[in-house]
Amino acid sequence: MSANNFDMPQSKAVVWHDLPDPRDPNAPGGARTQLVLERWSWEHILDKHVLPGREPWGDILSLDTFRNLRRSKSPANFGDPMVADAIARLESQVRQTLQRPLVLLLEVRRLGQSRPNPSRVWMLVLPSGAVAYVHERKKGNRLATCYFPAYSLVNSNRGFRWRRVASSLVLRYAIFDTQRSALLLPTPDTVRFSPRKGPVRELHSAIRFVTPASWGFCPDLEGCPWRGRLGEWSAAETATARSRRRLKPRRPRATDEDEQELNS
Amino acid sequence: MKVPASNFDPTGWRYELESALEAPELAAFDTTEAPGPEAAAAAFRVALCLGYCRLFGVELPADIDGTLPAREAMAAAEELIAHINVLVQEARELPSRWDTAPPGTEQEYCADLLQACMDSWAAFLAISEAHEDCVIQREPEAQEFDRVLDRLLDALDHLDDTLREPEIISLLATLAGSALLENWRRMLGMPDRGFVPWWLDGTLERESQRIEAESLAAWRQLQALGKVPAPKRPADLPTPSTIQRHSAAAILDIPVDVALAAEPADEAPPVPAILQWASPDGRWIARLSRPRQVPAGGRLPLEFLDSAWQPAVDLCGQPVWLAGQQETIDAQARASFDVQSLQNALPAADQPLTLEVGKERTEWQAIQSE
Repeated sequence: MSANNFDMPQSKAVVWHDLPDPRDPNAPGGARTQLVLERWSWEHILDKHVLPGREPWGDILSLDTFRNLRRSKSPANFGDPMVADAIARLESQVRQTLQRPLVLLLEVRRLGQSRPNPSRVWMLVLPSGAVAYVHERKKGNRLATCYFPAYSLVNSNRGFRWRRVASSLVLRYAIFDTQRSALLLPTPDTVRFSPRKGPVRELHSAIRFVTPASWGFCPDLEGCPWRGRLGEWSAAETATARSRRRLKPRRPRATDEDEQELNS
Repeated sequence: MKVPASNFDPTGWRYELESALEAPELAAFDTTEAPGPEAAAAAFRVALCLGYCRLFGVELPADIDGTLPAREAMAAAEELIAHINVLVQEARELPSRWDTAPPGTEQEYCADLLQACMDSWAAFLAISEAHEDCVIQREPEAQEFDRVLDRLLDALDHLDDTLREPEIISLLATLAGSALLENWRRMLGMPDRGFVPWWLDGTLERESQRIEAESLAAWRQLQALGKVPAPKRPADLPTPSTIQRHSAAAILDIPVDVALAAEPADEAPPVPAILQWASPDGRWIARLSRPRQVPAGGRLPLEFLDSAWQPAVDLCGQPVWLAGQQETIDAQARASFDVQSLQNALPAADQPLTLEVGKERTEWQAIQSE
């Protein structure tokens, strides 16, 4: 884990240096990049996700730090060693994700608004099962938010949680091909038209899973189908061989019998 | 080619079920003591994975397939009830989260909630299957299981009611037309499937259309009152280098010399692709059905639609240029183009296929092709 650098004036931001750049075709090798965590983003993460206590932030920050942050009167003070420790732990998770890598890159263009250039967004699935969003900026890539999705809150098993979160993002950005019975990797020219509130719409383009194999896609198969087998991730869990529990024998159900009759 | 049922595991749920059944916490159900939270969470995970296998028709080998034992199923149900209570809170906070979310993440909150609904449905399937078995087999836990299931059904109803409150469903409706819903429908084998939950039965699409219609009505009212902001200056519009464009190949690949062939060469669909564009303000869509061969008359129709997918009759009379070829939008919100002229106007397959609309020749943005 590298040390945080509080090198913005008055500790209004933390910069994480020397991270693998997911935009590089050779990621996690190749180019390096840095991320900025601005204080207001940290405040947003605290207020909306950490302090309410519903999300399992103890899995990222350690239970002690999590409890201390919730008790602290100044949890957004970057000068506080306890806050610095929390941010270092978050950085460690981000670094592990970029190292795997398990990143989804896309461009978001909001129609009906005057800004012509698209926003470039990175979605990072952390080993804990949280999702971090990074916005590319000219001044530096900025960590915009980080949270545990609602559906993941019930999963206390961390190994299962990150796979559920990754699977869910695949479902949102891949395309299920009924002919092949598989979710397929979006092609570079895939553009998603995303309706939004009222007359405002978004276009999602340049959708890229970095790297497809780490997301569970099979690059060796035609169309690069997704098979949902994301494998192990040492940062998330330690796999141990266990015996498998048996369920009760399944009693034939009316629908099964009907199907058997139809088949015969 | 249809994938054999025994290999059909497109979403990896069989793999996840195998892993869930290996959780050592499940051993707690072999004792007479009440299971702890870890054991309940492990049981819920089995219910979730098993339920998804049922939902998506994943065939399970005999050593994996089965029904949840009653104690595991009841613990999973209690876990699901607790989860639903959290989800209700999350749903109630959706409007305020939407307002304070960093740009580009608002819809993710909505998708997360619907994902949680799908999970609840899947887990419920496995739990109710276990309940049915428990009751039919007259197991000693049957009465207690009845009570747990009643509470679970109440919790699910409460979640549904909350999500369908006007302020919340209006945000969830932003997912109408999203790949997430479409992928679920395809994976569930819709429309042939019997029961589908409300978030997949068209409710969100209808809500989205209602909101769009209200927005348009309000817009027109403001226009009538002269309170609409001035039209965008050209400098505000996307610059040509940033506009997404379809490729000329879509037009150049249409074989002209078989235009009047009586029968297609194979049984491939007559329209292999539909090209779509959106107006810069997002109010209108243009759709061009690219046929496998040139239709009789040698012309391609370009349709214009509004946000409710109705003909955009407001655009009637507007000039339109496709690859620089000019036509006029007719009363049915269509303009048709001569294929030969389009192909002559396009120098190479890797060149862009531009669509410009209106007297100011505003270029429209290419969007996902079907």
